[in-house]
Amino acid sequence: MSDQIPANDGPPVNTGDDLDLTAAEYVLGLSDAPARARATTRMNADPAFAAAVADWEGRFAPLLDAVKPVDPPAAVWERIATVVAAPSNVVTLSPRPGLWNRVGVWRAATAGSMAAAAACLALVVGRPATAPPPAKASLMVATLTATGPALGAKTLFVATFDAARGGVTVVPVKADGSDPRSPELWIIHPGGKPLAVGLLHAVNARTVAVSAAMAADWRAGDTLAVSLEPAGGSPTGAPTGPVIAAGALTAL
Amino acid sequence: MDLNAQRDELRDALLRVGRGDATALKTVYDRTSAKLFGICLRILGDPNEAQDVVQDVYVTVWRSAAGFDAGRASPITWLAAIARNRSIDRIRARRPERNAPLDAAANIADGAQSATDVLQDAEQHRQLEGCLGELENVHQNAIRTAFLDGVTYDALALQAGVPLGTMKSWIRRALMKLKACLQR
Repeated sequence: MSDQIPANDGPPVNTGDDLDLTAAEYVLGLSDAPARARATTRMNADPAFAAAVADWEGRFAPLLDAVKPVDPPAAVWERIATVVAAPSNVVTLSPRPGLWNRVGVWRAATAGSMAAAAACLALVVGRPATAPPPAKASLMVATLTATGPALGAKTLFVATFDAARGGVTVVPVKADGSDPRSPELWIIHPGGKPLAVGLLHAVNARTVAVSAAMAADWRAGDTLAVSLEPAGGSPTGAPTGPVIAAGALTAL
Repeated sequence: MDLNAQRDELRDALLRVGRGDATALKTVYDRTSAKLFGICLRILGDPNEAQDVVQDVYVTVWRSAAGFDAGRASPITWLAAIARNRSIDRIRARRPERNAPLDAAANIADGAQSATDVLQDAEQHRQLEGCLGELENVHQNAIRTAFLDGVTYDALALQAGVPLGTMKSWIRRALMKLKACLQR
């Protein structure tokens, strides 16, 4: 926050406290979306800032006593339990016939281009068997473009995988947020089935933790894909909604 | 069960969730979901959206409970922070005209509630209230409203009828005063 404090409104705030003030403003929720995104990024990169945020969360926590607890409907736990019960690493990509028809982004597509769309997904998923074994890279990026032919090669998400940090950060490029479904990230190894990586945010950047065991298999050339799932993620562990974007990992 | 025992139970359950124990997740949910749903409802004002966020919070906890640092945060404070931040991110993503609930000031009436929540430390609560009480009324109200209702500087300035710069200056000075008081 670099806004000027009016000189006629008391002594200026000590600029040495900027880190602390920015942390407090984030915790209070005073910042707008871009400033919140910057704060989230900084928390990952700057331990002093992350500690300041945690300290302010702790200081203000007693204020939450004023919030009346309200039991959520039983359906909330039921949905969580479904996600928990689903095996996270045994998945199949089996878009049921008719699935494509239900998909908002595909609705504009003609019947003919639906076949093309299915072929497009197959292309995205497959990789020539003759390709040399790709190197393992600790830092990889992927540009995830819209998979619908009607949408052209529009970039929807940009993903950065950092093996050292054990996570993949996905930034939505075309932030919309109007779809109530949750975008979910999948990794597809050549010839393999999609493996659930985690839930994304439709509008904000999100870093999804990737376990060391899972990260060990990530290679340049693998496909990252995003599907739209019910809130909380695919209930089955496999993509159940439309695959809206996909792209290959490239080593940096 | 006293406060410390409850906190220990919750901390232990969260650590077990980190090891993939689904029963432990149910324990965490049973102990904390009403509080988290209340927090999300208050910020979002929409039961459906609040349900989505609560669900998202526990699924996130399930998939990455490793993010919980038992040495640093109290479990409920950690969970509440996730719920608050998810809710705030959600309202920030709304259309601009819905970002500034002008009636939010009406919601702060219960801020002075004296009964303490079993999950929060009574002494900590008393200390924070004492330090907030040393601030000017309009400043402490702005801080309470921001924290509990997730409104921006712009909305606070609009509510108080002061320029944005004045509101920022008030809050920043109040925050530093508050911190100094809490460290006494």
